[in-house]
Amino acid sequence: MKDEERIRCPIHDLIGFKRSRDEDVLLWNLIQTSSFQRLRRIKQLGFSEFVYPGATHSRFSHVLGAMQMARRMLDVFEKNQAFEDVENLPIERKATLAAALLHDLGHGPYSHVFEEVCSARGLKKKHEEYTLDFINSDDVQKELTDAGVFEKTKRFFSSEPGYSVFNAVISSQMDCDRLDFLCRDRHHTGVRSAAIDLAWLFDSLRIEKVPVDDGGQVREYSFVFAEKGMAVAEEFVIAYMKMYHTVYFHKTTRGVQHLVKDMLVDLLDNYSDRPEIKGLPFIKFFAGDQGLDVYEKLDDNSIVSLVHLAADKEWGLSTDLAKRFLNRKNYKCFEIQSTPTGNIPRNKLDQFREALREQNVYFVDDFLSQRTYKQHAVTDSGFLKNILIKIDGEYESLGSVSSLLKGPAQRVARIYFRDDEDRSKAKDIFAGLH
Amino acid sequence: LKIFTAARTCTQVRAAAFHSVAYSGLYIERAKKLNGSFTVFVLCSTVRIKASRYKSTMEGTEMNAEALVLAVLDAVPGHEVRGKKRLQKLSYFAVESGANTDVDFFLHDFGPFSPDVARATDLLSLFGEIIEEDAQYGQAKKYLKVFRLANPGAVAERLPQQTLKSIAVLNDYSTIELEIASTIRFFMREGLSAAAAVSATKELKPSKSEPNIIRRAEDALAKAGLDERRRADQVSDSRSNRI
Repeated sequence: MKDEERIRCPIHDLIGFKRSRDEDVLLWNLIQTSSFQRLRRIKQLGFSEFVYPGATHSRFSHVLGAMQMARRMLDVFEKNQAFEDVENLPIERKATLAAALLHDLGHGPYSHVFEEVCSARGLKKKHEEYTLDFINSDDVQKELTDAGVFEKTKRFFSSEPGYSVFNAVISSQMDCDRLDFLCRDRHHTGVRSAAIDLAWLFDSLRIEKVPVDDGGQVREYSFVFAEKGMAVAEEFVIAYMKMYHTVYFHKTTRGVQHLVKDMLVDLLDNYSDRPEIKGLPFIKFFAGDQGLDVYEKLDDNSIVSLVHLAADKEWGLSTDLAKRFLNRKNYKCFEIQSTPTGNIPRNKLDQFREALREQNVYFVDDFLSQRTYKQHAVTDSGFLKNILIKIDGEYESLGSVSSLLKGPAQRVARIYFRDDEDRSKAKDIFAGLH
Repeated sequence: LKIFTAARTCTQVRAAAFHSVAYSGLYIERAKKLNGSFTVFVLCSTVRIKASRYKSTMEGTEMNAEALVLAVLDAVPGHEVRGKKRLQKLSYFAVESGANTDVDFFLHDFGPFSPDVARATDLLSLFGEIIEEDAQYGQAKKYLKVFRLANPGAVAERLPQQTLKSIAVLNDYSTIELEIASTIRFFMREGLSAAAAVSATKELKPSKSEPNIIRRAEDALAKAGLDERRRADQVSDSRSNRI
């Protein structure tokens, strides 16, 4: 490490590291580990680039940004004397920044698709568990141990949110992760709305112990907005909703995810007859070799290389889907809107599916069910409604003081088809149902 | 390793296997059903071995996640549950106390969690079979999802009598007490002794593990008949003392 290192970032401008600062030396050394460098090869938004060509930024850039966001938050809280009772602030701060940097280490290639393929193959280990595995790996563990924060850093991932004041920076409604990905994803997609006034947001943000149970018996640390922060809290909500509707759950992006998932599942079903792919990390992983040495090699390129191989062969469905992926011939979406009461009649949907099966029309149900991902937390309205504002010394939920969150969320059932012809047939079938 | 059991669901098979290998140093990881047979995965130190295949001997229909959620709502007073977390915990306890289903739970932020139950709840709400509303409750004035059966008379599959009794007992406890109780139970099922399960829960959930909450959680497990591990530990301790 030189006396001073800098990384240029489109959101935070210069992210600096000084050799004279202990915490910066640790952070810089962590960035140099192979586990961390792997994140250069995993896109933050997966297939969103099929809709927003600029959205090719990596998880590497996001985690650097999350760390910088955590730094900014800690600086503000320090200035506001929020850490007066903290015993060893330099160590706590170092561990918090390390956790911000390491929080996404365990993501697999094209995260959502990979986890869906894992689920289809009966593998239940989550990316959070791989994050812990990476933290326990030799090179990362050594850096953290040398800096005296190995156990403290691990604690962020092995105990639940809300335990400590620093925990709120890493995992809460307004944590460094969410704030960075909202700003970064907006920048790279080119979405013009959904801006967040970060300076004002930080200035309005406090950390307090608030009741979390019905009786007020249990209190945990949470971010609370000062009254002057009401507008910026609303801005955050709008940004979240906007990004959710226009980016994270864009119907084209979900279509590509289903197409690639189908291709990968078909390849895994038939790999034993295809010696060309048996030795590839992706196949080895699903064949049972699930050690960290293999997992480390699973990046977006490990899937794209499979796509190229499949496209050049005569492997039936895999080849067809691989070619379609390369040429953006996506699955086609048919949306069934909810009724005025907000429901979709199950009988009609069941009849629809049955008719599709009878006519041999392949389809994929897509019931927005990805709640385990933070980007999709907006599907849970309570998440946004429960952002706290302190008005006249009382905690109020944003949902009760802002008119933004009064209406029910619009719901929709999406069904994907292989091509336009199938979708047209499906539309006719649906129109004929009572 | 051969296990003979009348169990007919993955959860029950796992439970039967768990009891069969108790104190042997083996740990039952999971049970999986394939073509009518069950495979039980056993951990011996860190090596996973395929241990045994055996057939279910009882006929019966397994509830899917949707039927489980409907049956849990059917079992509670007013057919209403306040909060997603509470619905998850009651569903977990329904499975633990004998509901015939292959729904799996893993340890998540707020204790045992099943993506299948979460997805089923979404779908039932989308189809209008349960009513989902936001409402503010308690001192925290937090918004909670309130889930209610839309047609209480139309629930096709019901929980067994023993499960209904357990759910009735557990429904008297607060959501945080259920969260702690279900986490202790989860750790016990992972092979920890009762005392070690409580310690692991305190470690994982430091701010919620107040002594009175732990006490209430243990009380809930005892009253619901879900503390067999503690009873087994006590028997084992008394035997050791005699020796």
